[in-house]
Amino acid sequence: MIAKLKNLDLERMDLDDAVELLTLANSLRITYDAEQVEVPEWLDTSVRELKREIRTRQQDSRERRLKELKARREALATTEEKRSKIDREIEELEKAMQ
Amino acid sequence: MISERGLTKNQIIQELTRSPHGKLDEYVPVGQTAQTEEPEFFAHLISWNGIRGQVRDARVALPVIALSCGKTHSEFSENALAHMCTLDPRNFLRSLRFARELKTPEYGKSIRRAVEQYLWARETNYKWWEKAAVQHRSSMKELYALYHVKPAPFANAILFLGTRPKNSVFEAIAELKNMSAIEAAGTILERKIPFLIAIGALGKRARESDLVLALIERMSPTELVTNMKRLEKLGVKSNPALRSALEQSLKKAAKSNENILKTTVAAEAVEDDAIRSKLQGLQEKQMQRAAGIDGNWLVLGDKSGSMQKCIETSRHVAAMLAKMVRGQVHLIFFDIAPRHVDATGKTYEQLLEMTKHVTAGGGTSIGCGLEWALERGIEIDGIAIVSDAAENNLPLFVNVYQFYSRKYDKQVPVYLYRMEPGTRALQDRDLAETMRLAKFDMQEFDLRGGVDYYSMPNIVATMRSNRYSLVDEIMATPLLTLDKVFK
Repeated sequence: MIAKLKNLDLERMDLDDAVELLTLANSLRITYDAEQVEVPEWLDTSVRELKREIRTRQQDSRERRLKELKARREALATTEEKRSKIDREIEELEKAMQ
Repeated sequence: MISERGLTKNQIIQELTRSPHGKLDEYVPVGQTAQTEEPEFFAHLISWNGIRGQVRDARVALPVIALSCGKTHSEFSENALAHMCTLDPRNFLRSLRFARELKTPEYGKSIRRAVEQYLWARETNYKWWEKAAVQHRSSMKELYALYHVKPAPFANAILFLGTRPKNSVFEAIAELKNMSAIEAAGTILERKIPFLIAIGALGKRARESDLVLALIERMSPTELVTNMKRLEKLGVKSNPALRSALEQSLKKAAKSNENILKTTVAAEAVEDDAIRSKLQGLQEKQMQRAAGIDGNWLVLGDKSGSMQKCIETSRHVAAMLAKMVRGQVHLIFFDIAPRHVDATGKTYEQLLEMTKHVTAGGGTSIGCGLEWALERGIEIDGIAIVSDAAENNLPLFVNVYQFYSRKYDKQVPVYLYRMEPGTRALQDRDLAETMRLAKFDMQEFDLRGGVDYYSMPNIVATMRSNRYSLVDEIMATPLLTLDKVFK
């Protein structure tokens, strides 16, 4: 695990792996601090990269979920809702053309 | 002839790891021998392969072969039929065609009844029937037609008259091309339209990013892996939502029993390093899932004269074992002296880097590798030897193995990956012969025809730290009945 932390291959891991590694990294950091040993640079770098990767993936996941839900909503729209949507678009276009 | 030493059982198992790429008759020689000589083992093997097997062709061919050798015990024939009936319509049809080709005169009526049950079971569960008809329309039609099974009125209307009932998934699929991208994507997700069907219905529109998102979600693990190059071109790396969809799907694929081979092939085909890395990550997880091999393992890689291919194969075997075993993996290259590498937890790329200066040359002492482990008090539970098995220097493997076995009071399983022979010398002694004369068991994988790295994970996954544990595992797999399939 330490080897994976030192030689981070972010593409190879999934989100769970990244969280697991970050847990290890944080706990290592705590130990270094507690024992008043200088924290190696690679550890700080790994922590930063892992945190950034986890944040990015969470954001990507929200974006994906939002798109999926919007698509599902569109597919489940009733005829009335579809008609209203088309009517609104017609109204906007007519306004823009005036 | 299958001997009591279990060697031929291993050959049978090894046959299953090969991928004949659609040529089902390649399983016939070994399969029919196995069915004739040991029908009970073969029946359990069919069941085991149905659950653990990685090669789809084997799941199609083996049950048919079991029915092609004359009358057998009813439990075994029912097991074979039941396994045929677990196949999807396309592969079920393949198995039936194969049965016609191979001829199963004792089971003609039973097969026909199985086809009827197969179709009627689906008709009585509309959602099941619908799923089959959506994904395997032409195969379903052919099943009804070939065996003259009268379809239920709704089945007849949809399959043979082309009817698309209002608000049905059939209507939705036909309308996909007329919908907006968002609505089509939502329809694909809501109706769980299979990837291939959706792609067919959408045509060129399938490239739109909203649709790609839905398509990734609907891909099976195999489809995901085999379409990775296409996804690469569609921007899965740069689009955040697609990136996340890809990650979700890879996570699902890691939990599936799908073919590790295809992941290996796909990883080689993609150009993007990041996507290749993702596929390699998936492959590692699949391998970890595929086999929980116990114990510590020793891989002895022949690096003597003209054994350059052995070096490469040894790296692959060690890397795969490193993923699959719960213990340590020691890789030792040998000519007349050992060179040790700790392969525990290492990837193939890491091992390649660590051993990049290892080249072939020198004499051969397979025993020196094991002697190295003996001298250091390293207790191991299995040995994999990658070599052409020709020894010409002391210590001979068999002598060290004898000593090792006495010291640790156990005979660890030995697997030989027999490679293409190099230049032979008069004093060469074949490892298999020396082990046989000393009455030690050794399982052999014949790689003299060439090394298929794609099927290598399957071969490695069959190794066990207990000589008979794989056979035990196979025999413990329960047989299937038609009732269980159709309940």
